[in-house]
Amino acid sequence: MELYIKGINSISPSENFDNISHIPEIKLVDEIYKHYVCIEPIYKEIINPLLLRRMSRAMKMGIASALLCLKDAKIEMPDAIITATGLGCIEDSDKFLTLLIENEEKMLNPTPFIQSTHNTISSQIALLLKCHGYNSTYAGRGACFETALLDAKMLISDDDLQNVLVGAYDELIANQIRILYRLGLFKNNNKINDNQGNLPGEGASFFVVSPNPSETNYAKISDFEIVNNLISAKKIISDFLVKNSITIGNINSIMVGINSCFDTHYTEYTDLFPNSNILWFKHLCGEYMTSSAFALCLAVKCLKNYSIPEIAFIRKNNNKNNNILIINKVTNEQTALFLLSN
Amino acid sequence: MKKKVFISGIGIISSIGNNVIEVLNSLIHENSGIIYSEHLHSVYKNEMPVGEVKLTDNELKDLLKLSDKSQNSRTTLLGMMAVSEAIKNSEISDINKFNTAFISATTVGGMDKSEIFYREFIKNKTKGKLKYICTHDCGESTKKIADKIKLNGFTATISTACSSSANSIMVGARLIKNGLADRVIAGGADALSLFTINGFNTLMILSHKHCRPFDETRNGLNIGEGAGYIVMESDECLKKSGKLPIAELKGYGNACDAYHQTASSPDGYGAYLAMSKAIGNANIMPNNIDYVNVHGTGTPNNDLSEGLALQNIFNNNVPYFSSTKSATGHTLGASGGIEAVISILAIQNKIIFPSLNFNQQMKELTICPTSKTIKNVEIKNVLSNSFGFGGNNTSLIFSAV
Repeated sequence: MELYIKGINSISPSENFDNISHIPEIKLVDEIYKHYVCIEPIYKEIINPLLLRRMSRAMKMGIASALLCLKDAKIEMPDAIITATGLGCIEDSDKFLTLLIENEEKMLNPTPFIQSTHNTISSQIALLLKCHGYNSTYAGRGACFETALLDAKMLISDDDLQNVLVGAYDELIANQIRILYRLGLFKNNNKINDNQGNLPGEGASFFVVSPNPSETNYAKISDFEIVNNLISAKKIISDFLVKNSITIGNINSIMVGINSCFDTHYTEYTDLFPNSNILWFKHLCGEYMTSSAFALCLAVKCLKNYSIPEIAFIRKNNNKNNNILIINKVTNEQTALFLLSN
Repeated sequence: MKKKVFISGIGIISSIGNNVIEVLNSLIHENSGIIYSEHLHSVYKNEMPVGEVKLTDNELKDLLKLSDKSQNSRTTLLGMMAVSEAIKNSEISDINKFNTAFISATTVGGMDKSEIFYREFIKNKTKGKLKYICTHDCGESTKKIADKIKLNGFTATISTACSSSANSIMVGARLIKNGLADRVIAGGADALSLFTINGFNTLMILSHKHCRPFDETRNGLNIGEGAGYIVMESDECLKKSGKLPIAELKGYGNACDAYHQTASSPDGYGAYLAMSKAIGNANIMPNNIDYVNVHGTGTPNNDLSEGLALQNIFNNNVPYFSSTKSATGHTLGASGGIEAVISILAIQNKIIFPSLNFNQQMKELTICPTSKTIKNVEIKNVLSNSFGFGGNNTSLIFSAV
């Protein structure tokens, strides 16, 4: 079954999402740890200011992105809400954990605990909309966003749903950045040109998906799959394309999850597509567990606009823009594929 | 026609037993596992009783044949215990023989290890052993358990607070119905942690005594820990291996209460919706339900809300119901998995397990839970409720085969 994307929104470190022209501004923690920060909208124009006061940044980003996405799709009430997050509302978890240790378990404020659960945002969206439909949250490393989308696809097919709100969010906090650098996942290397680097990032991206084709849709997800890396890249691609009756030569562009110019993890894939454009996205959003939601948002925007921003190209081979294949290694074990077309 | 989903194996670890047999014996003999903590060192350890698994991390590692030095959160260790038992119980010899998926749920993940890391880290950001923070995210336990059972198939992690593992079972069943998996191991695990004890304590919903679900004098829940997983298979998959199912997962329903982040609606609308969706999905009538394993945390708010929803959906003709959290404690993200196993045990053994500590009828309700073990009951359909923060409510229906 094909899914149609009716509405999108992304809150990301990149400015001017309609036509991104430069990499995001790099921020520093402790004056050394580079990372990206989301450019956030004016929340009081989107969320009731009384509610905003207690919300963490992840909540604001996630909820605002969801509400803007519904507006974009011209949908007031989705039939279901499904979210994905790598680390959830990490700011609240960090706050509650720190206080419980510092205060020796005494005099704690419940708010950060309440807001630390991973389903906070999906349930807050439901609460704001008074949406009693299906509601769920996928969490942790791996293909959590892709699984949320798979869940939406099953729901649409099983229960005849028309509009499912699916999204992903992850916020970045200072303590997490310190830990990520200490773990060696990112390197402080001034020799690397900033636009070639690999930096921690964050973002919230939401989609309204529907089984109904319409001229106002952004794009269609012809197919998507989460595959095990035990299988060779060649077989993964050939099986997936055969299933979708499309040849390698007819793939206009592939968008890959490389995280720096030096990342060679995808050559086995890029080598398979000598005539396709090669695009990347992590230099625009940074590295985080649900960055594939940003990739999907960027790709469908390119298809809708019939134009790909220059900054997204690694290699330009053709001027066609009818389809994009996203190839993203979500963990060492799993690769996620999305075939999108306009 | 949609495929049926059968259950071929179960695995459990909780404060009332380290495996299926021990848990069944405790349930039959009305034993509670709720007591002051031995392994978790909270300042409240002598004030708030908990449902703690009676094994240390190292004892769990020994049983799992893992090195003492291996870095696994307690959530992962508990999950490995129950998953290994479920696989054995299902007589699976080659985990990758069929298209097998693993859907696991947790809310705290590796928070027990993060707590150790943070003690040093918050004093000095260059300190704290990194091995303790690597287990933080909820997907970590899923990956470690999948590696332990050498699974190559699809894995996913669900975190919807206290309904997490009911949702993982539901999603697992839907993968089978949609032909995306032949066999799914689903459930959840959660370990006790200072984070959750203190979190629930700040909300003032922890009882200082044994919890008393659906009792007029109930004043809160007891947190527990554990893991519960089931193996679900398609009809074709069962036929190929020549196994007989032990039960069927006949229906499921997920709805959002959309009332408050931590409280249930006074009329239990979300609970009503989840139950009615599950009954509709199973294509049965409310009067076909023989027993309800209720969410029944023992908080004033949950039990009233859930009780009214029960009266509503069963039109005041409510079947036997009980909260086995009175024995196990509320195991948070594991509770849906643990109670799935208990629901299947009720069907297999023709026993209604009681709600412990019930003495006094609630004023607002006309119903009261089953407070004594009832044997030799023909149980065809069990409804199992799991309701979470944020109004994430899920009901499952397990049926005899």
